[in-house]
Amino acid sequence: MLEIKNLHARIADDGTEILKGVDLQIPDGQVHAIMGPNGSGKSTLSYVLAGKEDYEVTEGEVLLDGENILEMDPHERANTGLFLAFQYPLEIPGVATMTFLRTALNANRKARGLDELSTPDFMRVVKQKAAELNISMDMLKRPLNVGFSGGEKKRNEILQMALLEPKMGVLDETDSGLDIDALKVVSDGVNALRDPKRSFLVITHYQRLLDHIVPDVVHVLSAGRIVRTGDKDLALELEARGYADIIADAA
Amino acid sequence: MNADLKRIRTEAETDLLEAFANAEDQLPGRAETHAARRARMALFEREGLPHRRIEQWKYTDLRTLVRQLAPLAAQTANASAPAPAVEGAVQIVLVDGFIMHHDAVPAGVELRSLRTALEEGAVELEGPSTADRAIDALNSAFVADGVIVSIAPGASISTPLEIVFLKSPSASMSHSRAHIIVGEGAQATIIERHVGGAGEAVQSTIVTRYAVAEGASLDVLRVQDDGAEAVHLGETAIDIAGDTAVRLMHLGTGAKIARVETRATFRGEGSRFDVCGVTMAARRQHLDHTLYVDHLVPGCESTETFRSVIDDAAKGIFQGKIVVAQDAQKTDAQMASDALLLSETADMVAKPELEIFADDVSCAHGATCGELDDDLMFYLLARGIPHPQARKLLLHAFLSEALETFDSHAFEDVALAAIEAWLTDHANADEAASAS
Repeated sequence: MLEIKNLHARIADDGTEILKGVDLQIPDGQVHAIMGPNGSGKSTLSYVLAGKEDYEVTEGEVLLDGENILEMDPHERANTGLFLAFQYPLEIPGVATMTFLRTALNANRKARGLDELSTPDFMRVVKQKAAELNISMDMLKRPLNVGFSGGEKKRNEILQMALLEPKMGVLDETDSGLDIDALKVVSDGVNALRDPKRSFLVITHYQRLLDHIVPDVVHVLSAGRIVRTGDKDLALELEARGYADIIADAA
Repeated sequence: MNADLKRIRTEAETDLLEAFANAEDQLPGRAETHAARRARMALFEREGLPHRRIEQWKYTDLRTLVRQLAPLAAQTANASAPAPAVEGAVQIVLVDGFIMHHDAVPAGVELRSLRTALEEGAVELEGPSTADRAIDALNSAFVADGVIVSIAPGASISTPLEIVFLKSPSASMSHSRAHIIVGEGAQATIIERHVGGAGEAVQSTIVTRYAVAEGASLDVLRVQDDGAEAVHLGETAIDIAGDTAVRLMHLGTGAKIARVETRATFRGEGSRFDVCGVTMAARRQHLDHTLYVDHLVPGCESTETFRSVIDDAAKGIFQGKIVVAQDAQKTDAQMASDALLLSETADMVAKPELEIFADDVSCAHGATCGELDDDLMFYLLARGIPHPQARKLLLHAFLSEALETFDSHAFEDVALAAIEAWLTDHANADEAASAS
């Protein structure tokens, strides 16, 4: 269960306030979607949850299963079970994708008091999960995300999530840059990870993604606050009427 | 009116002249050799040690950096060489410049004592006595022994030959020299291993000269891992004939003050020279790599790839100069120096230069200097990788990119191990510092 309580955050550099009191509860097993116009604070929310230093939290709490993750370093949050799928996964030349996956998985296992996986065990797990996402072993030998297409990068994000098995997955505009086929593969990958003990926060501009990853609850974020909450039909209403109307109604 | 400016000598400069005066009688060589030695010393008598007003030495001012000179090293009988850097390598061990011992060399390889060759007049200490060639001049003046390695024409030597330039663990000045002659069509692998000195103030000049004949191919690994208080002045000069391929990898982590010069000269058409360098500096180290590549003839290619990681109050210097002569059409030369600074007090100077007199060439150079990318760092942290490990992963990636010339080569393994060892030591040192 993720609980966000009265979360205020600003840009560390210039003090611009972006989140102005976000309240949100995502019970285990549920998928919540956050939609909202450009500049409403959607990506900021995802970065603040993951602990990016560019943002300062000025008020509020974020509890993951009762633990305040705002007091943790980014890697501790990840190892506590928070996973952020990046809108723009970064390219790291010189780090083989496989090395990266293995380092991350072992860091995670170490934090949970488990032994590191042996090479054969690791390879078996990766092979199986990669195959489900149509990721070739050849792709995993390449440097992390270097020269990957938009679709390959996003599939790689989902593969990381599948390996790390978080409690809470935050997907930041995972649909951006994807064609229809890639969208299907990525969504199927996410749906395969749906579990009564795992919840998701899906951030998106478009209702299209929510046809594939069907949310339990939809929130509308505007000017740093959640202004409407509804079921999946709210996404359809947004698609039909646009943000301006809905936000005007809420105000 | 001529103002007669008299320079005031530093203590080290006075000691240097005195050391030469005392040692000269014992140095090997015939009258011509001694005349050559004295000509070199005249340079230091006139100019002193290289200093910042000499362009090539602007960033490594030896007059300021070396205030005191250690006594000239005598020949020692006992010293233990490290295990070979590459398994199965044949070692030739020089201690403070004197040959101590060597393993049996494969057929096609011949070793000679430089001392004997000097005494017999078989080798002369040729070279300019100019301030920009101070390392060679200093070495030529003092050198008493060394090794000449000859690879027979057509010989293909698969066993790496490792020349260990070992310094004994006492404050001393030494001068080491090796000449490597690679015959026509021959193939060889040479490792220069610069080690020793423990924590003592050892000061050394090391000159290695390579003459690579037509159609030959040569791989050289130079590992500069001198002790923490060492002053290391090294010069590697490579003469490249036509249709040859020379690759050089430099790993610089050792010494307190190091100036390493790499000088490659193309003398025949259709050859290539690839050099890559990895420098890792911490504490108050001062590590200077100065590179000259002279394209004197047409149709040769060279690549120069250098990566540096500088931490604490250390200073890294890269000077790279590619000269393309008027006749050297169709030259292709690509030089890059990239550095990462890990602390506010770390310093890097990069001075890449192209001097092109030909009009049909493809040459480029570039230099970057920056910090570890916060966004890349955050990506790794967000996957649960702790900060020190994430940093290590990024640094490893950054440095290893310089090694592409040696992809899947035994040298690559040595380099990756050296990078890993440095990063581990370094992470531990950081942890200890932050814990105290």
